Amino acid sequence: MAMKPPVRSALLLALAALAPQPAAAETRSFVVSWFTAAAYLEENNCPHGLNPDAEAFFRRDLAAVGESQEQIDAILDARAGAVVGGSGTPAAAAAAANALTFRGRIDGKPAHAYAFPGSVPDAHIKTIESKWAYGFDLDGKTGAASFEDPDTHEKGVDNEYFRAIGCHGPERPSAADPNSTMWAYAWHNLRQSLPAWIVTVEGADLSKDGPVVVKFEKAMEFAPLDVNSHTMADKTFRIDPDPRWHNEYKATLKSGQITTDTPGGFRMLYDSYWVPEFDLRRARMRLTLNPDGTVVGIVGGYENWRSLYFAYASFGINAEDQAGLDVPGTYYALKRLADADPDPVTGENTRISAAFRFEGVPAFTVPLRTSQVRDR
Amino acid sequence: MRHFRNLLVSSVCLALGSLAPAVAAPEPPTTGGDVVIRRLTPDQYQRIVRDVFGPTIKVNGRFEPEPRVNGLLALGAGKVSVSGAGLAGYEAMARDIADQVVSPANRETLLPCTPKEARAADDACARQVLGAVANLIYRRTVSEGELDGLVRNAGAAAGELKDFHAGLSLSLAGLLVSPEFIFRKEVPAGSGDRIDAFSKASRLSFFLWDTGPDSELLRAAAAGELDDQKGLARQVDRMLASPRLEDGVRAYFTDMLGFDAFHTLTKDAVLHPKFYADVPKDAAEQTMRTIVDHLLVRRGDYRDLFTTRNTFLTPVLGAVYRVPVAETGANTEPSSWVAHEYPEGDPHVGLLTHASFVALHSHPGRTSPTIRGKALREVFLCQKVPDPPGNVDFTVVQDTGNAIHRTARERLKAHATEAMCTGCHKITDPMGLALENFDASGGFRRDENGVAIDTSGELDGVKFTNVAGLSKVIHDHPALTSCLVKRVYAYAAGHQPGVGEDAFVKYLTTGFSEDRYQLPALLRRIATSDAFYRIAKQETAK
Repeated sequence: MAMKPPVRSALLLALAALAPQPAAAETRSFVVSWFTAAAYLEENNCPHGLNPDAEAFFRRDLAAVGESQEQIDAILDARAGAVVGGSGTPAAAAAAANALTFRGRIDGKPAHAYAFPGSVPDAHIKTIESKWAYGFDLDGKTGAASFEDPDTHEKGVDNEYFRAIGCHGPERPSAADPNSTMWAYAWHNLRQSLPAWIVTVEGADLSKDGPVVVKFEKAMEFAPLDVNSHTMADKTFRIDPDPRWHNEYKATLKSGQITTDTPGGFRMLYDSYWVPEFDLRRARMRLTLNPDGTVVGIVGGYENWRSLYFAYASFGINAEDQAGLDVPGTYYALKRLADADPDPVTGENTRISAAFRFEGVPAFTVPLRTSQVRDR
Repeated sequence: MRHFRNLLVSSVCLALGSLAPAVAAPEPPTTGGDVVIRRLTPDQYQRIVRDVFGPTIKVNGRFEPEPRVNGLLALGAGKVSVSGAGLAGYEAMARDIADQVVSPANRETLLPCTPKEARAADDACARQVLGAVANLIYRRTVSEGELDGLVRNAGAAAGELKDFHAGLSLSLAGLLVSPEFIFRKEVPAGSGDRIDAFSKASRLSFFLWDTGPDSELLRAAAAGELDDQKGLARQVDRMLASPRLEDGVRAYFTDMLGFDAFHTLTKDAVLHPKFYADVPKDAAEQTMRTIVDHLLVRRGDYRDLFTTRNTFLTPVLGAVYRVPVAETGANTEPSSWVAHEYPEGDPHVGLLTHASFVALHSHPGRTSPTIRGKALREVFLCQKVPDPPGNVDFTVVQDTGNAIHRTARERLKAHATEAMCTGCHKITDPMGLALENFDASGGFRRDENGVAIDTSGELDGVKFTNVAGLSKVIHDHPALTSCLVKRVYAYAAGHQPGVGEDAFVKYLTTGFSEDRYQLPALLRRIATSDAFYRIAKQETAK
């Protein structure tokens, strides 16, 4: 008896559903153990030298807004006196910090240099002038303004964020430790209060070339540390089902390196004080699965440059005085080098190309139970 | 924990009907052991304080250690006294406990009466308080004369200090610092060949609950019920059905497995970064939960502890064992325990693969097949392995980076070529090497220095290829069960069984087999036996 078409269709559909699906035969998960701006160590990429230290740019900015040499000396002497063993008083040091914080001018009146960085004259800080930077060609264009990735040798790499901050001493890694930047300092201090982030790679056989799926997801737990203050390996994490923190990409594994196939979004809940949330647009990612079971990767995309600026601005006087990083100068550099998504009204670019480097150690993941979702 | 205890109560209650010995073989006569005086262990001291005064009272202080004798601290407790410093420590703890009991925060809930005048003595109220606790602290009925003395002490101190509660506190502290409390003194009965009823109650209670007798057991002792087989059995069955049996079983296995060593266990942080402060605690608890679940909740065969794939894990242990174990609560909540069953074929088989064994019996930075093999023989098979001579050259064994001898097996082979070492290593290493897949922290590994680990070996002539095989050989080893019987009896009676008790130990071993190696049945056989209360004839009892 011949089957009626609807019945046959239904049966075919059912059979199709029963057919083997391209299931992931191998899944490896990692908990992110480092997440920092991808800074390439190169000796001569600031041919005009590094940006000046805090005392120098304080003097420069105070002079630019008309403070007398005597007044500048008095402010910086009071600031210096606050150090351990110094002769200054806490009140004088606080007054000096206040004078430095309010070294901007709006209509001739003191203005907060970090909340209103445009109130400080543009110092045109030094920026990277080199061929090399980590990242990806995000806009499909190559040219003098773009970099070449030192690892993949991809040309046309867009990483203007690195260009903007790369000549600040605190943002330059050392040969001994590529994680020795201000970003690394922030990660080191923040990681125990951040949710754990999980990288998962799924594929038929991760020892062979082929298509894979890469996920970058938020866990419900913090990432605990081991006795050496490194992120502990082999812990189990529950994946937060909130779709806002679920990043998933189709990717290709080739010669041990995984690269996402097409640009996508990248969202990462971070720290409310440093960067509340990463929201990279047209993001690309690559990962290397290391023989020791760890993973290292780069994610690049376009980030709101003001969000990155406020990472420094929120530290304010501490970022400048202790780390030696010129905050208003960085503001101007980021604004000038922003290279994507122009504001339809002002025409000013709202986003800047950037790349971030992450490392991960092996982890397990389990889905969150329904009852736990309800109780969140 | 409460859930675990409820499960335990249910299963033990259900099982009580079948606890009676499978075969009513007659108990052989024994000579009994010496009367022993045992110092309370720290756990026993704390448990009694909790039982008498409630869980709000904290025991703050340090106890002097007991030596391990014939594999048990419980036997060492019968070999120790109290030093001057130790006595000062007991006194400080006693005063602190008594002060807590009478403190304004606790007196309303813990004291049964209020003095007529807070700044003066009140003998009636003091008598009420002291009378309620003195029996439990001394573990016997306190005479009226003794109680009068305690009340007098409280009254005199209250008068001197013009504070009823301060006076009461001093009298309570006197009870707690008394040798009658700190030492478990056993008194021969009139016959001279058995201990008296209150001593029986104490033996029973410390054996099954690891604490002093409760009011009901003291009542039964005072009424002579423990001298009657039916009365004794009634009390034993009551105690076996109590959730407090778990305390007793935990105390025994904590002692037998040498878990006191966890207090000082450290691991090389560079080599074993996951072994942080919670791991030793959780490792011991994993084994305790596995034992309690298997022996009491499931009423399983003792031998199966060495082959079971069931255990309990925390997220911390999950990281050590590389097993996915998720937190079940919020980040700030303590980790909870989850039941876990390793799949067939997984190398985690039985107690020998717990971190509580492989990590406890390792060096801080490397494994030791010799120490593990020695522990296996001594702890589980009651076989004595001699200590190494003092002039052994361990250089090769300790050199884990040795370019020629890259695995522990190769290093031990090189080391054991020295004639003075060969003999002992033959009886320890073949089993210890089967555990080489477990590193010094308990984590699993397949190779050492890039060389695949060979886990084959043999135990008393039976060969195996891996840890599952070793566990099976241990499971079937005749010394496994006879060792447990002998050790449980020694633990309970406070002395190593002598020649005159051989027949009784053999009777227990046979009975254990007939009872399908169920621990509660063994406990019952011992607790209801005549031999358990028998002592060598005491001259002083004439």
